[in-house]
Amino acid sequence: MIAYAAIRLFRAVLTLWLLVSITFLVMRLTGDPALQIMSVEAPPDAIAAFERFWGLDQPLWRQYLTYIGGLAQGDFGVSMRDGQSALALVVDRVPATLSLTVPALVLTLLIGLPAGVYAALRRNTTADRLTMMSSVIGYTVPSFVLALVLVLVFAVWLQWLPASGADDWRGYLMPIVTLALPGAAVIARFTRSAMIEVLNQPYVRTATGKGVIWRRVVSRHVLPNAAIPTVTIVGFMVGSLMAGTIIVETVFAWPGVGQLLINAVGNRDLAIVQTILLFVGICMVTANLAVDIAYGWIDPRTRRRTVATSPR
Amino acid sequence: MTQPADTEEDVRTPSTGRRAVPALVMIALVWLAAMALLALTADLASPHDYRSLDLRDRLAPPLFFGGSLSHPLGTDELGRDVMSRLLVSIRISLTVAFLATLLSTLIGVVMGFVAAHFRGWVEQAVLMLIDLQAALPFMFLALFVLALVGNDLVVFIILMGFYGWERTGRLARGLALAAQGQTYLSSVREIGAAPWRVYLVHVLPNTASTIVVAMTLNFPEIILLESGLSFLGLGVQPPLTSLGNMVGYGREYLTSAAWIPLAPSAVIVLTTLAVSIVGDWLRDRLDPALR
Repeated sequence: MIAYAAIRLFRAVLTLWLLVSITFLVMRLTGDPALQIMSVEAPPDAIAAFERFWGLDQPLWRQYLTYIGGLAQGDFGVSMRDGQSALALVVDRVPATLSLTVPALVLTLLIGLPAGVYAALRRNTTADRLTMMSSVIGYTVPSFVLALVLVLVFAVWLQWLPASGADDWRGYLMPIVTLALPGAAVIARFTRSAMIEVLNQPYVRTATGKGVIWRRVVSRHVLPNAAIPTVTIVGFMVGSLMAGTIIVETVFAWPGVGQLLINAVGNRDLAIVQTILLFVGICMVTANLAVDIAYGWIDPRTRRRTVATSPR
Repeated sequence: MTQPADTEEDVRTPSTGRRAVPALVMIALVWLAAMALLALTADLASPHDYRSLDLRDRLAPPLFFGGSLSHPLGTDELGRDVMSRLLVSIRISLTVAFLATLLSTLIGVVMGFVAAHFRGWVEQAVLMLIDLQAALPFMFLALFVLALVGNDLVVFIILMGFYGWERTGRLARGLALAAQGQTYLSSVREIGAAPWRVYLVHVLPNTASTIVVAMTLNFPEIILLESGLSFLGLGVQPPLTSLGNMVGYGREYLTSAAWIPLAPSAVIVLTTLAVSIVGDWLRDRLDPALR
């Protein structure tokens, strides 16, 4: 188990290093940072001074080492707009985003898991088809359309909820639901497939054959085994939730990381965009690492095929 | 929405058979054919030029809500005909999604086949890239590149063309590895066929159905990604227009002129839904490998 966790950890660190290096390379190769910040007509000696100040006259490998060293010390650069630390600006926005994503993840699981289990146990009935049809609709409706429809119904027509802002708990409802529904649709579909896979296993037939009551077969044999692949998808949910916040925070004027990112892209404020990209990378790699380790812990079989991740 | 790579391939029931109702699939196919036709004939079918302003006739309601026949879907805040803009948007959104899906499939298939052919460190490098791409929600990557290089239509299409290549790549590598174990390939190689011939003339046709199914998964997701970015004002740029673009700019008129954002929203939802329905059905019908 320790060897398994160590290999996973090594891969996670390697992925992060690749991400950082590719980010650095892409940023240096796509254009002269001096010309992006200063105007094209800036006098050559001003540009030279600028490059000396930011170390851009150094060879690439030395710039790279400086960059990595800076990141390791929490120096993610400064915002081009007001010279504030990019890291501080991003960290400042994290609580607002977490106040949406954490409840949304819980809601995703609360809707998705039972719906998937229910559909699998009633496979090929009308209830199953309706659930799966809602699931398809759930992940084909873009979140900005879902958000607009919710605003139209609950804020404009019924006037139950505020259209944006977070003055009290009612302001949280629509953003959280908008974030949670597409994920719940994916989880429902995935859980259903995982359940059906297990329901077709010989050991389930054996259990029913020897006279174990159905409720007990499901709770003791089907659910625990179906839970194993379902754990992996929760890692992916973290990624799509983070992507979802970009749209949701824009629609509901929510002062979180997603809104900061959109403004920064509009202003081409690279330090902030890069900080958020690396932040998301760290979150995703950590989430996947946690899922991998949880997976190995729940299912001992996976620990043995560690080194070469089997082709799927 | 990023869908995990292994959900559909791994956990698939052996015997679901036909799941989608054929009538539903027919409706979906008819809808898609209509969209393709409208995209091709957008110039002929649109009643007005999509850019022409009519400031005296702003925010006119659609036909059955008190509007007139000359603007069947009403007009927007600048008096531009919503119907004409919708048709041009359908053309642009579908073209972007179509080209991007082709590009993404091309990248994925080439990377997958290269990995399967050379094995060794080349394969490990490709797998590292696939893992890296899978570890990062594409939306963030896209925004990073857009902030870096700015935006125009060609850059945007190429960027969208990287969406989902890692899934196709993983799939293509698996398919090529499986094909290498088959007798027909060793015979072809015995005869002395060059590697490119082996892959292009033999492996590709034998794996095409699976790859086409993967494309039907990718296509609606690229539509959603494109419309999401355009909605945020960071995708297709004015004076061009796209479905997400129309929703984004029409959002402010949700209370006063709801048809402006709702008409393109409906087209996005119905189109992605139709592709998904057809894709599910195709997967169940054509592709025993994924069952």
